[in-house]
Amino acid sequence: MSIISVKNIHKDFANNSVLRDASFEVKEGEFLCMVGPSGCGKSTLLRIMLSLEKPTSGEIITDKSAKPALVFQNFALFPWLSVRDNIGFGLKMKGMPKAEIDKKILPIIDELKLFGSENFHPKELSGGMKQRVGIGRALAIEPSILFLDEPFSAVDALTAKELRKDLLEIWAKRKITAVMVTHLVEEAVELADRVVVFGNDKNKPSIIEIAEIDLPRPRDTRSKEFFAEVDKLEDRIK
Amino acid sequence: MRYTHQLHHDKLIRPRFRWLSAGIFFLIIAIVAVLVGFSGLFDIDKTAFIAGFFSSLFRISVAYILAFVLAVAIGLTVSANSEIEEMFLPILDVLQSFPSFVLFPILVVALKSQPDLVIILVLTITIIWPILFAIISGVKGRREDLEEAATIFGAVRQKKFFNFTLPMLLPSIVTGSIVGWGEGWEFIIGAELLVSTHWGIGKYLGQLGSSGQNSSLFFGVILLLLFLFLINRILWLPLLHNSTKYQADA
Repeated sequence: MSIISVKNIHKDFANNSVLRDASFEVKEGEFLCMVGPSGCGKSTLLRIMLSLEKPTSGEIITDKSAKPALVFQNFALFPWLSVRDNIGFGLKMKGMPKAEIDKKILPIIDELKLFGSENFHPKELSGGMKQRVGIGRALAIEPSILFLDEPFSAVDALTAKELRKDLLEIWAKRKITAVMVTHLVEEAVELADRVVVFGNDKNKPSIIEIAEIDLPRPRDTRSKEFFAEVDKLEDRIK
Repeated sequence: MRYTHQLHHDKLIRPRFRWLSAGIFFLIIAIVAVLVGFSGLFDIDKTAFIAGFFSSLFRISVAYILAFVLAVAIGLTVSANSEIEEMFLPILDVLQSFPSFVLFPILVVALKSQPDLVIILVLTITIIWPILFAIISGVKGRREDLEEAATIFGAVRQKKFFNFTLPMLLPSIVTGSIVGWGEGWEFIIGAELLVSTHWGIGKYLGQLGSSGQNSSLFFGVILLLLFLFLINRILWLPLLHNSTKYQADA
């Protein structure tokens, strides 16, 4: 069953075409990655799917029950709030009492290995920790669909690897839908059930291909099959 | 983890102690100055000075609150979208350069029986500018992804105002307020000389000056400076410190 339908989306910025005729469906429970070179419009499409931006034409049909949350590229944590209050922000906006929020976010703090840092402020955290808070803030509102905009591009490679592993665990355990933008093909192949491949040719539709990744989970990122998938997709982008 | 936590803890606490010890130091100086000042040595009229100071403080506080509310309302309206901003910013720029003392004669005639109101109104017009422009530039410099995060996680209308806009602008507001507050004190001394009020620190110092009590005037000015310095120490500097402590990248 599809939870979001992207239908013929076009987006121009001042006569510059960013997205051309982009269409695909997001299936409930899947991990979908949008991959492509910078400037191909993948982040713009993510923002359009979240209604943060309007398309020039086309439409997004979102299932009524869908509850979205977003993890940001540069974390976008509120600097004046502690880790605890950042994670509980969405619940506070819903009017939930403080004691209940604390009860609700405790398992998330544990799950994201943030225990002991609840009272720190974002400024006092490393990049990896910040993104854990970003993920925690998104999970706290119990989303049915988790959007991630290049979530690991602002952290170092080792941390990114660890975060990818944790993200997969969270996705599998909570049975949520994940839609992630990345510019790394390896990252997409490691995480996704399906990869939407974007191109930069202004005379062609934005989406070159929607590839199914059939590799069994957990995926061995050093196997021959893994590299074969990566090579195949990278060839399509070139 | 425990070790880094400890380190971090020290880092947070120490500046506070420093503030506190500096505060106590200045408090002692102030108490000594007040005792000397009011000892009769300098012939300062205790009642006139204290009543004058607090009358002026009251006027400035009322004007500050008015200016603050207006500046937030105007600042957020003007910077709400770029078209409104382009239209109003030049107007505000011209208005800002307008010396507020010019309004005095007009208001004195218009509100003859209300000298306090005249002073408060002109004070408000003086104090508002630094706060207003700090807010406008604070809105301009905001991080858009933070605003999107606020929207996505459900901060709309007044919830957005109290949970996102206000805390985001707090450092700008405090900086603007410190400047505005200072300009307010500068202004009120002159204003109280011009408009006849019953009590006022400007009025009292003016009386000391015109009756030739030079040493009293001199010590009165020193005392006033100390009082203002204390307000800065106790109110504004801790506010500034707290509002900027966690800002910067997140």
